[in-house]
Amino acid sequence: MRFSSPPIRSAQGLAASACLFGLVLAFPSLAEARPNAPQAFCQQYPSSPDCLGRVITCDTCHDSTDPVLWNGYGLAVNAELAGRDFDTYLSEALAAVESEDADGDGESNLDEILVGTNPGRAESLWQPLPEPTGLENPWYALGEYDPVLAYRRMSALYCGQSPDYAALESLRALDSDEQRERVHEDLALCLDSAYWRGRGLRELADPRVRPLESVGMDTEVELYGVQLALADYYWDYRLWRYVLSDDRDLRELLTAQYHVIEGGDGALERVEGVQPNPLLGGGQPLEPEHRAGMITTQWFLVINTMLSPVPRTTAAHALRSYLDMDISRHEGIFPVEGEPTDIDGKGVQAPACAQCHSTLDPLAYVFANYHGIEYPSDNGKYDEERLVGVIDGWEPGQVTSVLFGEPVSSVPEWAAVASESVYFRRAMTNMFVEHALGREATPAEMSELAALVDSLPADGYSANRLIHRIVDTDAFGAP
Amino acid sequence: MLEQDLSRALELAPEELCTELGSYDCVDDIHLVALGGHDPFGRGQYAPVAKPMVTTPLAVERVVLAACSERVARDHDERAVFTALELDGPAPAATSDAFIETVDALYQRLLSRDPIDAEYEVLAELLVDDQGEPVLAERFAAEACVAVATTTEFIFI
Repeated sequence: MRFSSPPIRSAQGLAASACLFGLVLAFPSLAEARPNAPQAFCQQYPSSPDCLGRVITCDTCHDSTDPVLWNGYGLAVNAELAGRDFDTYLSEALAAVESEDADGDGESNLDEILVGTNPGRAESLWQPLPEPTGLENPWYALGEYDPVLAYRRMSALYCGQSPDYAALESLRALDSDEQRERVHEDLALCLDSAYWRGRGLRELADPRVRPLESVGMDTEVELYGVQLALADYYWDYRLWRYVLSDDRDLRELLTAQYHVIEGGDGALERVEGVQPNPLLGGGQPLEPEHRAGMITTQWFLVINTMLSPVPRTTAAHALRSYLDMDISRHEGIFPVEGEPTDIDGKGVQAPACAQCHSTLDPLAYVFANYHGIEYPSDNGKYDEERLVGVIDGWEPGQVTSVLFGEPVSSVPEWAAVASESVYFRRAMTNMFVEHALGREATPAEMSELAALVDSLPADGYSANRLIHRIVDTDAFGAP
Repeated sequence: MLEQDLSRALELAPEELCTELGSYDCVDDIHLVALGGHDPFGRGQYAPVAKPMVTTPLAVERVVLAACSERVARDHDERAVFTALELDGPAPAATSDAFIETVDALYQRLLSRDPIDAEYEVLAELLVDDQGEPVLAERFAAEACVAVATTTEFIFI
């Protein structure tokens, strides 16, 4: 298989960076080279989609990082380095093995890297779809963008049901340009429908909100007649639905300082300031200056921080939910020099733990000023003194949070850096694309995906405009 | 969406499509996960399964068979879909208007298009049993409905 088209996604940055991470993880003497290597690769391959936001992992070169096990590609790169200075010779080493086939699957390392498969794993292989063959299909234009198919899929996804016979007959009677126009006219109606604003958007939020009926406002658990609701996740869902509708800026998922209520007519309305708890929990106790959208709601803090002094789970879930980086899978590793300091004595400085905690702990420190579960009614409140007395010798400002190499002094700052990053744009685009396609984008679709990511700023970070663009892609409309 | 599309095509309320033991909704409850749904609040399942499960085809056929059977049963008294058939009588001939109208109705309702000649021919095979004897019209109606509503086109597009 050869790929004559320009690189549609470059896993070179991925491969190189992942190997680099693996190398430095394996050999402490190399650790100081780690932060520079991804940039070196991106300088070599500036158009690489990986350099524009693909999540970097160790898997490209490693089967395991502790104990260190290299795959064939990692071994090849390592052998080419031959103990020479990592920063100086990494690019040369990668280039030297590009024409090899480290995993013996019949594809060169470079070909695999360019389409995003793993050059070190034979089972990681992609073949383009064959050209359509067989009888002519009188209803759908196979292999090319078909507005009728796009209309059908669009209706199902965003209106909640397929178009009926009359609607499709009406569409088929139009010429191609008119059909495309109709697709977008009706898509706009669907995106304004009760189905999409209610159920459709809500379902996208589920893995991020992670509701739990037994401790939410619907709980039937009581103690001495008092309902034991720790927080109300419907605040989260309302904010999510509000930000992702009506062409609002989806960065506000991370930066909103307001809350959202639902009026009697079902319309969502923005409200400002602290919202008192109706019971033990259920309000929104944060002053606006401590708010950061979805990642500082009472529910988010309660369900993730719970009783933890250092809210690592909270930071990890924010990273996973809004930057597509699952740190438990070695995604989004940006080690901070001198970390982890292990301020709470959990043993995270052990080599196997430090691989991730050198990134995770600095991500989490700013969340430590927010309570998780704190009876009787302080769930999710802000408290700069929270760790005083909880961690021996703790003093505010003792440690510094870092996100993507940038020091941040508060969760709103953390959220601002995150929301402006290419990783956030990529994560949000991927979320809508995977929802639309029912799968991840294939290597052949990566150029369309990259264009979608790039379109967000010019479109004002509007989810609706992004969806209109997704519906226009061949990935969506070509049967 | 399967529920919504079947509901509209067969003019049955979603809760009338299929129930287990006459009480438990097939789509929203019993077979929710197999049919690609998820339940974050009660079951803590925050996203649908990534791929169809082993039981997914069984669940789809279960729901479709129940829905089509329910529609045929109701059409005995109040015709909505199988308006061209005498359901208590024998199935019509493959060349009859009743057959063509029935197949047209199923394709238009379920797939939002007209059938092609090859599709008439396939469904005509359902007009007779294994011995070549005409089946009852109600049996043909139910089987034709299931055949169209379990096509890849209906389920995946």
